[in-house]
Order: sequence, then structure tokens, then C-alpha cells
Amino acid sequence: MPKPAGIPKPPKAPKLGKLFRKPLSESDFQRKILKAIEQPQDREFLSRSFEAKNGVMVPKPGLDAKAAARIGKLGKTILANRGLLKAGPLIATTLVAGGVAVYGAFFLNSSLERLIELALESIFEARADVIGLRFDPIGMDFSMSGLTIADRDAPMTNLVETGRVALNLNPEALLLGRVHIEEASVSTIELGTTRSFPGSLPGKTPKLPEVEQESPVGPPLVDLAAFDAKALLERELDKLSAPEAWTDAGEAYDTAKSEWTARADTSRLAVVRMKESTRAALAIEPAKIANAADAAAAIAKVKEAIDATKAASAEAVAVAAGVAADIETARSLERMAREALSTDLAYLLSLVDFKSGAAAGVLEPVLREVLSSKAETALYYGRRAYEAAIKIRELALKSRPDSAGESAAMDRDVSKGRDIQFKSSWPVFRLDRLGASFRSGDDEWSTILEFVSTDPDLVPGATALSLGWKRKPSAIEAKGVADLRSSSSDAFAVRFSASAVPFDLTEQLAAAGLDRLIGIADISGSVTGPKVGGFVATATARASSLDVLASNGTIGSVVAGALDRAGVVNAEFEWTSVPSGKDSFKASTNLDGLIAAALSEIADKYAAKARMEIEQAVSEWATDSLTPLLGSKSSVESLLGAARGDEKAVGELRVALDRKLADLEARAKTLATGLLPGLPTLPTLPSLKP
Amino acid sequence: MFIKKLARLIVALNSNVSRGQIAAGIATGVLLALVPSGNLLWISLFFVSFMTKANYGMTMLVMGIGKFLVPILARPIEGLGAWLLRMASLRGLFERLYDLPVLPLTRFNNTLVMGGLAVGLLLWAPLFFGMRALIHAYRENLAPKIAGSKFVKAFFKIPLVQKLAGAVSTASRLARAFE
Repeated sequence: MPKPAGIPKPPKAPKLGKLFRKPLSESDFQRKILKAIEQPQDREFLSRSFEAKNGVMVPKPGLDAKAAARIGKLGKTILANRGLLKAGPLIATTLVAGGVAVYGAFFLNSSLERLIELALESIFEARADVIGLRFDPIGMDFSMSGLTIADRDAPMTNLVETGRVALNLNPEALLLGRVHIEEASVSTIELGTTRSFPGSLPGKTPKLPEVEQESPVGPPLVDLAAFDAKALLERELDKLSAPEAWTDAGEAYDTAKSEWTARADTSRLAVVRMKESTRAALAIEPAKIANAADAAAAIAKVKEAIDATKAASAEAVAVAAGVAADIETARSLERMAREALSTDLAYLLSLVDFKSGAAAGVLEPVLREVLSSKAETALYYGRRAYEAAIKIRELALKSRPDSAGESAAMDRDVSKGRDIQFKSSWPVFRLDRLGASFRSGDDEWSTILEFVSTDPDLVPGATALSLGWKRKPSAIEAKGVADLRSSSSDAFAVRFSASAVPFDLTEQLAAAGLDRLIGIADISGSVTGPKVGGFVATATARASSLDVLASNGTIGSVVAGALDRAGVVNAEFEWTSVPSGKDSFKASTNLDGLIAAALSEIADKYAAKARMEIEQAVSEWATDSLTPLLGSKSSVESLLGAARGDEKAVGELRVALDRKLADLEARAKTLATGLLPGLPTLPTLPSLKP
Repeated sequence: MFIKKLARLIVALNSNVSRGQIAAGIATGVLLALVPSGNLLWISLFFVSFMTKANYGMTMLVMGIGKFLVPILARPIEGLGAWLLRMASLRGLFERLYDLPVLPLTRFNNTLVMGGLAVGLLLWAPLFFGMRALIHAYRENLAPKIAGSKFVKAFFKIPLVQKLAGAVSTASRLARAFE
């Protein structure tokens, strides 16, 4: 039906917003609306815009659209001011959580890789590379396809390189912010592999290798059947003390000669001049002096001569005393040099005098060298592992409430605060067990590392490393325990055993005439080290199936025969290393007895001849090489004789002059008495002395 | 950015935004400034404040300024934290908390975190009520006088200020829509 034309549309009631759709009582309007409005002018506006009708507040008629819009806006503000929580941030939180999940899926692994690398780099002070890390936060499984840690002290070498590493983490520990690896497995472990690029870190310089203590060198065994005394003397020259002692004595004579020759000549010349200058004074005859004036003039002349001799006579005395003192020193050194020659002769003779222990003296350094070269790598890795364990512990203990140097640390850490570690049953890091068992060619390797922790007191056992190697029929087993717990006094203890391990010694026994010795060894022993440093190592070894493949000289063939007859060599070692002290190494072996017995047979036959030859060689050496070192001796002795002659001549001259002066004074007194009779006798003049 | 935040603050002060929300924003901003970031405690506090109706802009502004000033107070805050963490009477409690899941991730055992939290919590209520009263007094008494002054009227006639006011009102509308 069409609408009638000309009727105006009724005005639309303005919309005031949902807050004002339902009518509000007067009290509700006051409480919920007006009280929620903060601006006084807005409150006033709202009061003006509503009126009470039948107990409820309704908009006043005639509100225009502008007023309605203002009321709507104020309504929205009132709603926004109500309540405590907002809906919008919930959406934002969901978005953030989604972002974190995306980050985890794409970037968590790479971030963890870098974190682990940084942690390892701070412990080992060299580059660490984690390859192909995967972390499953739900299953708490963690794996990496490889790990390399460079050697700080050899940057082109890896300290360790592993194959696949899988870890099983304890989720409870992660919620506590700690890392607890319950079980870890490594597919392969290789030590000392070569790197393609340097693994050094900036600011982390390699530690200088410790200066190795020089191994004590035992006396060499001398092959008497092919004995050459001169060759022995040449070979042992470095160990003899006579050359140095003779050189010292010769230098003393040379120094005396160069120091005194010129001075003695000058002194002698002065004495000659003195003799000439005093000749006139000494020629005066007191009896021929006739008057007092002549006597006085003669006395003055003699006194002048006495004064002139003073300097020359003092110099002559000084030269004689100086030359005598220096020659005495040189003679003393000469005596010592001759004693040194006797000692050297005795030493050389001892080399052909085989007694019990002579072979041991040779073998001890050899055995020590063999042991230390074999144990060197193990000790190096052991030291590095111990260093790393100590570093982890230090890092963990640094912020303990009872840690030392706390006030000093405060200044440094105030901007970041300090983490106070409370007593807890959870260490910051804990590894219960890491196992690796793999084959490499014919070799079977097994490694188990247990209880590595930042707080060793919170794990049930000491840090232990067990190593096993097998290649049929040989086997080596070792278990090292580094006990960092506060209750333990020992820092580490290692027990090892090796069975049926073939050995092949080539250069080490050359001193005993053996160029190559092979056999099978069974060794067992232990190494323990207290926390203060150093270690004590003991080992028992049994070598069997001995076969000398090459030997040289009489000694070599004799020792080879002795070893063949014995068949088995037993040995016991004890090696004690004291920090900043001298190592002690003791070895006892039946090899010593075997060799000594074999050598004594040769000694009986050749020793007397050898002794004679040595004495003759030393005598010739002393005559030809040592005595010429004292070339200045005769010159210095002549110098002393001349100086003493000068000293004597000066003394005699002084006496003559003194006597002449006394005679002249007596003559003068006589002349004076004759001139003035009756006068008392003049007092005697005191004699003048230099 | 800073000018915009400041302008929004002036707008909020002169609008009908609840004075409680602004006061809570200021107090929370101080708390977030005092507690070092980068730990679960700060993240939790941030999310809680983000979800409440405390004025977010005010929180951010006060926290931003506070983060510059807090290093000056680091030493006494750190000292207070250390004192609290070493208190014999609280030691048992802290040891229990230290062995509870998640809580160690808050790093409450850090002296600066503990000190900042303690100072922030102590200041929260006085700041909240104090600021609430101040805002009320400002809105009732001071704001009408300022708005009516010739200087302010002339200031708002400057073209740059007008543009800025426009931008701020747009930003305010966006922020309100987000809330």
C-alpha cells in the first residue's frame, strides 16, 4: 500500500550506546555512571542530559545527535574503566606464545648450539664446534651429530673429536634451571686429531710447556773387549771436572801476569833511580866535615834523600805483596785442578769396574724415559681434564655466600647483582654417566665417565673415568678417579692394568748394547695424587717371550745371551713427583743382576789392561792439554822474585841512609861541643824514619 | 616516540581514563624498572601488568625513564637484596624456594632482583594511592584552570601542536580499540 504523501517522518530517537539501553535507577545512575566519569564538565553534561521519570533515569527529550554521540563516547569510557583485566592482551599473549613456538621450531637448536659452544669455550679456553644439534623439549632428548674441542696449547689439533652424542636430560632439573644429564652416549671419541683451521680464541694464549726435568743420566757401560782408553776419555770429556779447574788456575796466573808485569817494571825502574839519586848522600863522610854549617848542610841532604825514597820504597813493597797474594790464589787453584784430575781419573777407572748396581744405573733412566714417553699423553689429557673440572667447580663456587673475596667481587658485580647459591640438592650441572663403546679397526674401545658436577659434594660418587682397550689377545684397562669432594684428601687416583701387550724397544736400550728387544708385557699399577699436587706412581711389570733382534758389541751379545737364558724379566717401579721439588724414581729388576753377572765375566778378563790404558791416557792428556794452560806460571813466579829483590834493595838503601843520618848528627853534635866549651850537651835529635 | 607518549600521558590525564588505572600504571612501571629484566620474574610481572587495566602507556613511560635512573641506585638496591637473601630467618624459606620447580628461573636469588623486587613492592601501594589522590586533585582543581588559561589556548593554536594533538588522538583511539 503506498504511503500518503506530505506526512513528515517522525524523528529517530538518537542511539546512546549499550550502557544506556536499559533504564537505570537514580541511585545506579549516580553510582555507576556519574562516579565513573572523571572530568567534572562531563559529569555535569551527563546530569543535564538525563532526567528522572517514574524512578528511572531517561534521556531528556530533544537531545541532538551531537549530544547523543558524546553520551555514547562517555559510555564507552565508563565501560573501559570498569573491571581489572583486559581481553586484548590475551590475544597478544597467544600471539607471543605462537612466536616462541615458531622460534623454538626454527631457531632453538642453533641458539642452543651456540650456547653450548660458548660454555665449552669458557671451560677449555679454545674453540668448540657443535654440529647438528637437535633438542626435543617434550621428550627431553638431546643429540648432536658431532663435537670438536680444540686444544688451547696446540691450536691446530683437537683436544677431542666425537661422533654422535645423545643425552637424556632430567626435566625436573631443567624446571629448576639446572642441567642434569642422566645418561649420555658417544658413538666415537678421537683424541689429538688434526684441524683444518686454528682453534685458538682471541686473548687465550697457549700455556708454555713445563720445563721438563733433565733425566738423570747413568754411567755408560763400557765394552771392554773393544776398549779404547782415548775414545773413552773423549766421550766422557763433558763429565770431567779437570779441564775447567785447570782453565781456572791458568786464568789466575794469566791475570796475575797481566796485572803486575807493567807495574813491577815501573817499580823496578824507580828503585834504580832511587839508588842513583841517593848515591851522593851516601858518599858523604862525616869525619871529613869540619864545621857545623857543613854538618847541617849534609844532614839536610841526607834527609832530602830519605824523603825521595819514601814513594819508591812503598810501591816496591806493595808490588811484592800484591804479586805474592795473587800467586797464592793461583797456586791454590792449581792444587784444586790437580785434585780434580785425580777425581776424573778415579771416575774413568770406575767405568771399567763393574759392581752390583752398575747395570741398574744404566737401566733406571732408560726405564724412566720409556715409561714417561708412554704415559706422557695420558698425563697430558689427565691434566687438562682435571683443569677443566677445577674450572667448572670454581665457576660454580664463585657466588656462594661463604665464598672468599666477596667484598672485592661486590664492586665488580653491583650492576648485575650476585647470584647467591643456597643449599640445594641439585647442582647447577651434573652428568651421571657418559658411555662410549666403539670399534676402530681391530681395536675395541670403551669409555665411561661418571659423576661430573659443578658441586662434587652433591653427587653420589667421585668423578671417574674408565677406559678400556682390547685387541686380541692384548687388553688394557684403566680407571681414573678425580675426587673433588671436600671430604677427600686425594685429588686423583688411577689404577691400570695391561695384559699381553707386545712391546718393541729399539733405541732405548742402546746403552746396554741392545738395538732391538721385543717381548710381551703384563703391567699393573696405580697413580695417586694429593690435592696439594704431585703424584706417586707404582707399577709391577713382567716381560716374557723376550727376543733380542739386534745387538752390538761385546756387552750387547752378553746381555742378549743373559736375557735368552732368563726368559722373563720382572720389574717394580716407584715414581714420586713432588710439586716444585725433585722427582724420585726407583726401579728394581732382575735384569740388573743378569747384566751385572754377564759383565763381570768380561771385566775379569779385560779390566786390568783397561785401567792401565786409562791411567796412561789421562797422564798424556794432562801433559799435552792441561799443563800448557798454566803457561803464565813461570812468568808470574819470576815476577814475584824480581819484586821481592826490589823490596829488599829498597830496605837496604833505607837502612844505609838512616845510618848516614845518625852519623852526621853525631858529628854535628861533636863540632858544636868544641865551639862552645862549658855548654851543656845538646839533646840528641830524634832519628827520622819513613 | 617519547613526545607522543608524553602527549598521550597528558591526554590520559585530561580524559576520563580512571585515575586508578593511571596510578597503577605508574606504580607498576616503577616496579618493572627496579627489577632487572631477562628473568622469569620480570617477564611474569610484565605479562600480569599487560593483562590488567593498569594504564599500559604510563607503565611503559615510567619504566623507560626508571631504567635510566635505577643504575644510580644499584648499590643500595643490591645491598638490600644481599641483606634479605642472607637473613638467617629467611634462609630456610629461600632454600625451599630454591629447590622448587620454576622458581629458580625467576632468579630471586640474585641480589639485584631481590632488592629491586623488595623496593618495588614496598613502593607500589604508596605510589598507587598517592598518585591516585594527586590525579584526582589535578583533575578537580588544576586542570580546569590550566585549560582556561590564555597561554594554553594560544599554545594549542600553534599549527605544529595541533598536528601533534591530532596524531595523539589517532593513537589514543587505536590504543583504546586494542584495549
